[in-house]
Amino acid sequence: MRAAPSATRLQEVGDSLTAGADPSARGGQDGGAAGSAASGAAPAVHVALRDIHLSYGSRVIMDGLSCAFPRGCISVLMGGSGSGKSTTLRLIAGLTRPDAGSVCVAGRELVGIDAEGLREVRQRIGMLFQNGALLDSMTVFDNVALPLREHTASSADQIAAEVHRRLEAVALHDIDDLLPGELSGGMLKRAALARAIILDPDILLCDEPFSGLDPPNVLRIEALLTRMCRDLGLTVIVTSHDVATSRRMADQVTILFRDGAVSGSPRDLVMRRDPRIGAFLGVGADGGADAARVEVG
Amino acid sequence: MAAAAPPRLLRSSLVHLGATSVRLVAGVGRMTRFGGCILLALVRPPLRARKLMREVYDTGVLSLAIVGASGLAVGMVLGLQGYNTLVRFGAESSLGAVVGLTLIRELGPVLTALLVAGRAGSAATAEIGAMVATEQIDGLRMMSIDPVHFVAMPKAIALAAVMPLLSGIFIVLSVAGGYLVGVNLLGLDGGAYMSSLENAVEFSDDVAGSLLKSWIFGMLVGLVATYRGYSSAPNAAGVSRATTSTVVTSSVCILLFDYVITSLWGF
Repeated sequence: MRAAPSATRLQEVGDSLTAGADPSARGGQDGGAAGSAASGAAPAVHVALRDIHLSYGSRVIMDGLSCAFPRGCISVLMGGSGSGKSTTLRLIAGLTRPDAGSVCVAGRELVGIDAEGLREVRQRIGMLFQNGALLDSMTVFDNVALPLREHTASSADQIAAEVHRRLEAVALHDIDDLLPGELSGGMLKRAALARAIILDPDILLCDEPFSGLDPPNVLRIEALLTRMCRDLGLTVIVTSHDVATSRRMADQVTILFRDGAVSGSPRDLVMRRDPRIGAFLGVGADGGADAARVEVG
Repeated sequence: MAAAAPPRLLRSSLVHLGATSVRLVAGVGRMTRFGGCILLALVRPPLRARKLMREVYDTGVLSLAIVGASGLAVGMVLGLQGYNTLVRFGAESSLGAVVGLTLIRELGPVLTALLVAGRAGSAATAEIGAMVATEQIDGLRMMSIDPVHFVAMPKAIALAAVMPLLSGIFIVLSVAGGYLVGVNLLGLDGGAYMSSLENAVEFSDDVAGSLLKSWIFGMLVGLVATYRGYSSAPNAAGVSRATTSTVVTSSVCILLFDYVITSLWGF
């Protein structure tokens, strides 16, 4: 049993959010790997995929994909439909095994790892699924409390306090007894995010966290992720099609193509003036003016 | 002289038969391994008593109406058919024994299992399949919670536990249905009906064997239902196929195992 997650860490994040903090208040949004990179040294690699090959039947999904995600940074995965964004998250989570290649998470190799090892790695990873994946037979409270009940020795009062703290951090109130089916899409996603972060993971994987959300909720989730990354040192890996949000929040953008992946800070990628990259970052081939636009965010 | 090549149709049929056989054996192997995982989960804490109780309610209590109504109807038909047959030989006083033995040894466990497979088994498959399709099972894995322990084990154990109880209720109501028709409608003596039943039925041979059969059927339905749901394709069509497959596979397994158990142990 691990100890109950620290009550104060996320409380601070939640407090700053409920105080109306603006995600754009984060400095150096577009200036490369902000967080630790801002101090000069390149952040250490937290998650690395090397030469991944994966096929479903005769359909090749990944053919030699290699990419790395730095510790304590927000990395946004972009790419066309079917390019393997969600699959990349599943590989990192150990939910999908590659045909060949290496998946290294926090120094541990996931390919060939035993069930116990995988369980240990997963306890350090939180995952927000595209549709929330809350258990629909349980109330929101029970869903968020489930990891605490399973993996900590916390009392019922401690669990209740922790669950409410997390729900408040994602701006959800008075929904304890509602079933997931009774929530709107945005509420569902925020409740799922509360569950994903309840055990204070080191790595947070978010599969399309902004799809289906209204603009205020996009800003709210974006602010929460940004502050968790900055204040708690969380490594956040997000798949998204939302160009504006990706530019604002990303320390690193990784774009998946059929023949591999391209990674860099949003500004670096724009400066490459590659039309394939520009198509995903919403800029044309005329580089300079577009790069200026990126800086404005 | 070289042997003539087999006709193309025969060769493709043999290839198809071989591939189907390999798939069948591999499927049985995977299902058996899944059953082993459920048994391991059963002895691993926590017990998940609350979840188990809920599943017992869902599979057992909610199946009472269909099992009770079917039992009464089957007993009434047996009473009617049995009386019409026995009366030709002047043996209508044995109606209680005929109805009782038929139900306890054979029809009770088999029909109850078929009914429960159709109602609770398919529901269990659909629920687990929907959880697969909506990534709830993956969500459990990401919380380091074993989905077999959390989802499949309570459902499979509940099905195995409630089957003998439901079968008992089915048999009691069927015997009552036979009594209703034989005694109240056709004028048979009530004492004769009950005494022939009492004299013919032995607890250790008939009743215990019947309960054992029901328990085995319950385990079969539980295993098939949870495995099919767990291994369903993550989409609506996959859930639909898995649900249909649960009813078909369970029904065939129940009938095959019924013969095997009866021939091996004489129940």
